[in-house]
Amino acid sequence: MDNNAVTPRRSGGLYARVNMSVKSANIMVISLLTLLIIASVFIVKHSGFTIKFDTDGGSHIESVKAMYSDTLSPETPVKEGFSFTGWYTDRDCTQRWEPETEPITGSMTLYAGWEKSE
Amino acid sequence: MSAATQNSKNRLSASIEAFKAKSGADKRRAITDMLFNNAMYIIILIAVIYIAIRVPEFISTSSIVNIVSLTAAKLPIALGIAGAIVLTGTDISAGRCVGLTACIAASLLQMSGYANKIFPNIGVTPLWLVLLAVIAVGAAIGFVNGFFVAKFKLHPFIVTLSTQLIVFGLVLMYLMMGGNNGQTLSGLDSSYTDLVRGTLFKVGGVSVPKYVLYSIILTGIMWVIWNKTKFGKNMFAVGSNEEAANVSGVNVFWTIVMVFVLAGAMYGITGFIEGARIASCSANTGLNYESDAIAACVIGGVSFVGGTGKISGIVIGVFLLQIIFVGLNFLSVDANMLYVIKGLIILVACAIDMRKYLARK
Repeated sequence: MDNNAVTPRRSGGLYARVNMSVKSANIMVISLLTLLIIASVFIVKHSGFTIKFDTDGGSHIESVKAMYSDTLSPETPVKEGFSFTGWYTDRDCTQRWEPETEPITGSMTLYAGWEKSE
Repeated sequence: MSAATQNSKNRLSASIEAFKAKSGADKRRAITDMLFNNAMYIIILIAVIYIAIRVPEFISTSSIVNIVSLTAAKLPIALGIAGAIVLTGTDISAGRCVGLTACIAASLLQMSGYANKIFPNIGVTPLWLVLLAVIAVGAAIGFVNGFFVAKFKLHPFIVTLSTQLIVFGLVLMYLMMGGNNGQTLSGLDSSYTDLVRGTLFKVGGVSVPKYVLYSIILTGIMWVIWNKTKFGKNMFAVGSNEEAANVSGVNVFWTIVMVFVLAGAMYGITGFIEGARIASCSANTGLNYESDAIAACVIGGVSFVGGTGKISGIVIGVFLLQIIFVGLNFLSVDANMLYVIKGLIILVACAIDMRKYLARK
């Protein structure tokens, strides 16, 4: 409602009320860029995917850290009265995953498949 | 083609001459301006070179096809959101909207005879009908957004925050329907997955999916809407100065509503593609898609100042962002940590955008 102000061609949108010199904007951009670079370096230094193993009541298997394109060789879980059928990427055990041959491309949880043994 | 290159050459030489004519202080300012305005691109370029040296696989054919496909998948949603940003607003309901439409498309297109079908009594719905349905659902949500923004002058952040929650609630309720009990929707009909994920053509043995073509078509349509229609011109006029646009006879109310409806339709199409692309839809589908899209738009030069932005910029923005995400994946950066980078990228891109505005002022 500031009618006294000369209406500019552009209203300024989201920055209409920003009152800051270009110099301080430069400092802001540089510090944010530095923050982005520091964060990126830190994150790349601490990279690694976490692979969890859900044995659905079977013996516990510790989750492991893996890098891109690694393959894994997890121990075979055991469960009373069941025999192990392999690792799957979904809880319903429809998508088979061979840890020894398939390379890792991201963090994930592997689900153990079980079959009732006679 | 040659005329275009000639034209750009002329423009380049003209800008070089203009630069030469400047005095020392002006020259220095022009260089700092250029460095600041392009800081994001410089950082991304350095990152790409670093990743390519560390992991040569990053620039293999399959990796580049992967980046292009991901760009195509994320492009329609960014094209939709860009309209809202041109109006100096934003739309944070986009991701959930994609989630809802993806779940609707997937639920109607599960193969008949699939054990965990959400609606066992209906067969496979015709594809065109599903596509129209999801576009209509997206457009309806967009209409609600646009109506509240245009009619009551509420800030789009607030309006779309509330629709985001409402839509998320709808997704959760939708997934509880039938005998589904909130489970992931999978077992899609092959006609649907073929239409979206089928091979368009092969590059060096790596297949390019069909949705890349759809994305190109949508980009073309949006380019025509933005640059060649009265609605497009009105959108930019409202974005740069709403009162001035109103005085010069633009129907501001309908322009704002239509921008959001168009954005909603784009989310619907994104949902349709996304449903088949990821092939297992849950309540988490579409989570935070809007943040990627907003970041891509701002990197690509769609400014929060309003009234500025180009379709080509959006395409470049989405592409650059996907290069970074794929590259960080090659460096084994966990998806959780990627969120931190994404947040900082949005902050830096907006700071640069604001600096551009201040420098011009």
